[in-house]
Amino acid sequence: MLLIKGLDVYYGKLHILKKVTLHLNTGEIVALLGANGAGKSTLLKALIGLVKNQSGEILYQDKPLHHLPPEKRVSLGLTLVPEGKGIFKPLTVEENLLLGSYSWYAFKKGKLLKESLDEIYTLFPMLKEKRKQLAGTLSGGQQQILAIARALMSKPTLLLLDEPSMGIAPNLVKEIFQHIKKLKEKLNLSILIVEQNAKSALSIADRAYIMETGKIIFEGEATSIAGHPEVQRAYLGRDIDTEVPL
Amino acid sequence: MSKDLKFLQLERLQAVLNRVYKEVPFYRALFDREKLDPEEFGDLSDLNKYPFTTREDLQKNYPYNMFAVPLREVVRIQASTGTTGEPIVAGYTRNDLAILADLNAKALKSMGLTKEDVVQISFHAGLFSSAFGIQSGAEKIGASVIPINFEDPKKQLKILQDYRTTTLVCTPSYALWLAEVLPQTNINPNSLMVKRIILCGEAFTEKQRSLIEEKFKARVYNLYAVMEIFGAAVAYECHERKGLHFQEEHFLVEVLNPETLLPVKAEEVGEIVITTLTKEALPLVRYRTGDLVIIKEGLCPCGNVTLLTSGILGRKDEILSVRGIKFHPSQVEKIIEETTGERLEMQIHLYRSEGVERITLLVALGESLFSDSFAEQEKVRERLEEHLYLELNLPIVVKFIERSSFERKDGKILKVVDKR
Repeated sequence: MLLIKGLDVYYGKLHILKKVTLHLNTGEIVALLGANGAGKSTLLKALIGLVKNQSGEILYQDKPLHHLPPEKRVSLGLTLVPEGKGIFKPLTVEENLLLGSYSWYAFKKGKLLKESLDEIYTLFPMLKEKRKQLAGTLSGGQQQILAIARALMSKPTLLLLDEPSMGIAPNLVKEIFQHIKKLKEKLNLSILIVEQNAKSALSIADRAYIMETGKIIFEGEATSIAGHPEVQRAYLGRDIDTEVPL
Repeated sequence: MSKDLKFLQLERLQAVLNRVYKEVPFYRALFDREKLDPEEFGDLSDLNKYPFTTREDLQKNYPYNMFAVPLREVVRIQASTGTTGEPIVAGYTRNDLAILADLNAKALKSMGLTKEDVVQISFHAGLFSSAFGIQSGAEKIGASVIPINFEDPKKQLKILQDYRTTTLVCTPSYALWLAEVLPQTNINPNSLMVKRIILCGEAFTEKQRSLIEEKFKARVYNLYAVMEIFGAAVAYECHERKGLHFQEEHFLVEVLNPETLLPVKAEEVGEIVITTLTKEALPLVRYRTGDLVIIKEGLCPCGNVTLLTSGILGRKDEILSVRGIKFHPSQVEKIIEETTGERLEMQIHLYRSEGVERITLLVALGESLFSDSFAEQEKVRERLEEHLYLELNLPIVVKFIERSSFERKDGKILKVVDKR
């Protein structure tokens, strides 16, 4: 459903993404792994249209995306959950969620809005409990769930997740990932997930790509990539074993 | 080829190019020399600019220099026997072996193999790599596998009968030999359970196919193996048997004119050039297999849309393939020189008797040998035969003859006379 072909992105003169080609099928979770600075987050930003200086092809459900501004891409079904969540802390949980519906919200659609909210509250009962609470008073894990829930309010078909485990207590990371997996199964969402926490991401992903300095160096089934030395090399950039004297 | 497949190939190809450029010094130097930057690779057609990899490159980088992973990640190492110069070494990571099993399972399944089948895999030395691949594929399907590593055709036929083998896997020449021996035994061909024979390791003709089918009353399938690439199941014949299907999710296949190196059209003869897309330990870019095929037009009725070609027609270079073992005539010359101390003219005769491929080597009597006693000559001959067997793993009968009695064409002594 999503095809990226030969995507180049520049930050000024810096060549960040180099002819990146990848694909994502409907209802699939794909993990994008790699060290800091590999270009993973840039790829997500390029997908949603936040990076201007890009060339190459992006096709979503056979429609070219690369000339569309971010809001048009959201109406087509893409949504980004940005790194660091990006929730509005002085607003309440519910207000945050309502903001997620901006792409389709209209005065006459009040009923639909209510239904959508109810759906979200059934998915995440925790948010219902705290819906009048200010978002800034939630814990890190709860904020992450709120960020994902807000993204769901735009009724996406493709969810782009940027580092969902960042800044979250390790014991909650597992819970977040289980939520993500549940979303895929319940809503038949396709999910592209960028993650430092390779192990967790691979535990829920169907396939994975490994990026290194702006290019893809490996593609494969998640099960065959888990524990793959290439993952280690991509993160650590070198072969530690060879540096240890025998 | 479908759009999705092309896309998958591009995606995997980019990763392969980036990986070999980073990990294999040979490719880094080669790409740098040609001023190619894998980061610029954006379309499948860009592959035209890339240089080829040859057997010689693999030999020069003997044993491990072509590997793209550290040796500790390699779980299996296989080497070719009897090639020119150094052997070619192929390595497999754990993941490579899993894919190898998948490829073989897919090929065998499309030939109709199920877990009810008893598969007798009979290869001798030089073809181990194919044998292992086929074995893992058959086991993945759940069939019962009998791996065999000896040549005696009578014992082989006894096993075929007693173990109620349904599928026999061997080289074409061996199958022909078995067909030849079958009437000499007390085995009734009609009592055999064998229903399919899978031939691998050599080219064979349609005539040979029908001969084997008639003798065993079984269907013959073709399985294409390239030892350097992956072993068996790079391509296979499906149950429709309209030609070889290449497994294009894992191999990018080009069929090129061996002279001009440009793509050939349908119904023209071309050389198979393969770029591996998923191999980890030994990824190869545009590897020239030397095997010739004809691209077939139209689709196979089985519905598989991947590249369809004829069976292997032969080889574009002088490399000879006998009983699945490949060698170059110059290698034989070298052995003669090493043994006799002289550079003697020679002629290799290839022929079949009792269905099996045989080699006779005719060597010109040099001056020093000519003057020697017959007993002395005989010693040299025996030494030469032994040396040839050790180097090439093939039994070769050596005969000394006078220079004038060589078979010639336009006055030149032919190096190879192939009467197979």
